Amino acid sequence: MNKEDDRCSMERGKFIKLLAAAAAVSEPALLAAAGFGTKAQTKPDKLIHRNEQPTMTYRKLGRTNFMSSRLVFGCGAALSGGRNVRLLDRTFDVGINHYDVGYDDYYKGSERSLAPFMKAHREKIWVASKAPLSVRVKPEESITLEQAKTAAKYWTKQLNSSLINLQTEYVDAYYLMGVDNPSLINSEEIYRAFLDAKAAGKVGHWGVSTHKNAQKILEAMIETGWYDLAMIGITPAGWYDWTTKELAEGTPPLVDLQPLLKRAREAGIGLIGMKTVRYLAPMTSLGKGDPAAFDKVYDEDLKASPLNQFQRAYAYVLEHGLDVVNADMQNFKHLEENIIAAATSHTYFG
Amino acid sequence: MRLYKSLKIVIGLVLLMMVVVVCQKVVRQTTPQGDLATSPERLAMIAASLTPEGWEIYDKVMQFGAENLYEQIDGRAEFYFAYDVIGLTFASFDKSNDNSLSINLSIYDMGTPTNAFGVFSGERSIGAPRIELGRDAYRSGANYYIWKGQYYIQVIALDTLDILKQVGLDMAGKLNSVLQDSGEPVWGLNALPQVDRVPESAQYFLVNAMGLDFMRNTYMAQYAKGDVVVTTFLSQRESREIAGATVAKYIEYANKYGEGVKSLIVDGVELVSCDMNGSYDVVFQKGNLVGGVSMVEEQSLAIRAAIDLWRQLPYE
Repeated sequence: MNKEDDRCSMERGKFIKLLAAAAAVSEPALLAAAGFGTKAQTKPDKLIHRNEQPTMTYRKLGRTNFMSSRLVFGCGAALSGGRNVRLLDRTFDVGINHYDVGYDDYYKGSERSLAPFMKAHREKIWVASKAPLSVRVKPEESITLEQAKTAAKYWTKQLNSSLINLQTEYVDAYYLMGVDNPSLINSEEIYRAFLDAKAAGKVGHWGVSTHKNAQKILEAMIETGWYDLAMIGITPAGWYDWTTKELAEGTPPLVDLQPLLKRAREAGIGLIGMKTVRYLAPMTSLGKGDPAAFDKVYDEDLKASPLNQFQRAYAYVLEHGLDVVNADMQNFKHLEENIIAAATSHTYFG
Repeated sequence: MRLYKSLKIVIGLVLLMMVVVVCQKVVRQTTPQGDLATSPERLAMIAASLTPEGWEIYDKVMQFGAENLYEQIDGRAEFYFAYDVIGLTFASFDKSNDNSLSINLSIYDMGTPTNAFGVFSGERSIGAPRIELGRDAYRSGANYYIWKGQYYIQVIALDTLDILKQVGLDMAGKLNSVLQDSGEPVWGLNALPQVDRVPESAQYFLVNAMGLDFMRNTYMAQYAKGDVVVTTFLSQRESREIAGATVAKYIEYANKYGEGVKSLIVDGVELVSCDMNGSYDVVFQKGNLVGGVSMVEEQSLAIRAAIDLWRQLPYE
């Protein structure tokens, strides 16, 4: 896709109404925090700007040069079966420009549900999808060449299916989904599959999503130098293990992971947090039902803020090493709350 | 004497009939064909019995309840939670000596046919070729998706080879013949008008229909109105009062995110028309039903479609 400067201005009245709809923070505070009145960048730059609004904040995603909204709309569960497509227009209005979805065997119907919206706003949004490698191998094992070839073939097939479902010939990024085995990260067979897809004009950037053994996966990604994006299962209290639905055993808190995250950014990898609030959610949302679980890492200012527990967690990770955060939002209420967290996170930390 | 003999014959016949009836019940309870039992143990046996000739089960048949469903399907579990899933019986089948040929079988027990329809309709691939299994079913590539009573079944192949299509279809067919369907109707599929309904468009949402946290127990379907397809919704609430409160919340939502709400009476039907910035929602209450249309570009069409729906609904 071409470099663009596609910022849109928004009249003040509509801006106030949008933020007041969340009713979480006072209007003057929101206006100041969201940087309303920030001047558009006038110098030419190599950054990719899409659908930027004063109601959202943005961060460059590594070597992609894409200025992503700090809140990413997680489409996978939200759009499955077309259930929440009417949230999409709202996300666009408030300046979200990054949409993350996944392959159809897992997120049935989500790519197809996103397709009309993607078509309507193609030049103004960034779309990433993903598929697993479908290899039966434990995290500590090394894959064989045969397994690597099978994995590469399967992933490529899913990429092609995703393009059909999304009704597009090109997707901004396509990830290896749910990786927990470093030998998959180092596989030249799998890398070649990405390079072939890129050469064919099907995909722009490569990434990995990981929520088990994530530290080793990220380290392997840094070492290869092949990857542009890393979506990691992370919370204010440290790594999140999606398999167990617990914090990863022995994890340091996020604040102690800063050196690793810095190395990743220096390697050109854009960092996307995911599963950040899952631990706080009730069991029916696969959480532990303990909304105060991360309070131990917050300072008193954050604890005294008007943000709720979920908003605090998002704000915290955004200000401690993550460029952006991917949130699953299945109704307007959650969407509005997460917009506030992403738009104002920087105001709660020195 | 003759009478005595006749009586003996009649009594003998009656006793024979009773024995036959008892035997039939015993046979049903012990043979897989038309098995009436639905216990997890039985589901596991059924899954294992589906192993094709020359194939084997990878590891073993696994079963998960709602509390650990995520161990098998990760984040997708939340989708099934939204429909009160009871459990999952899962088996992976590999062709012996060639594990590149692999099929995964998932049998979701959703508790009721309505909830099973909810997940089936939520994941449906529109336009995929239908197959005559269960209450509804289709094939996508070499994968099969079946709604049978309270069960939602997925037969998913690792590739799209013909051999996998055939093995998967055989597996789906055998499973369909074994699992029981209570026949319990799905209310919304009968309540939603049939005329002009776009095939395969009906869906059921137990929660969060249209991204609205107050829209529970809601059916949606599309209708062809001339050249335009209109999205319709219908929710059966617990009482007229709750239905009224739901409409009030809808108005609140439309005022917050839209450009104006108008209460109308058209042809004797009370409606609320919501301007949603470029499209219209029209919502009404009829007894304990809340219905309407959503995201219709032209207001007059939205109103006409809503009235059409109102007229075809019973008073509940």
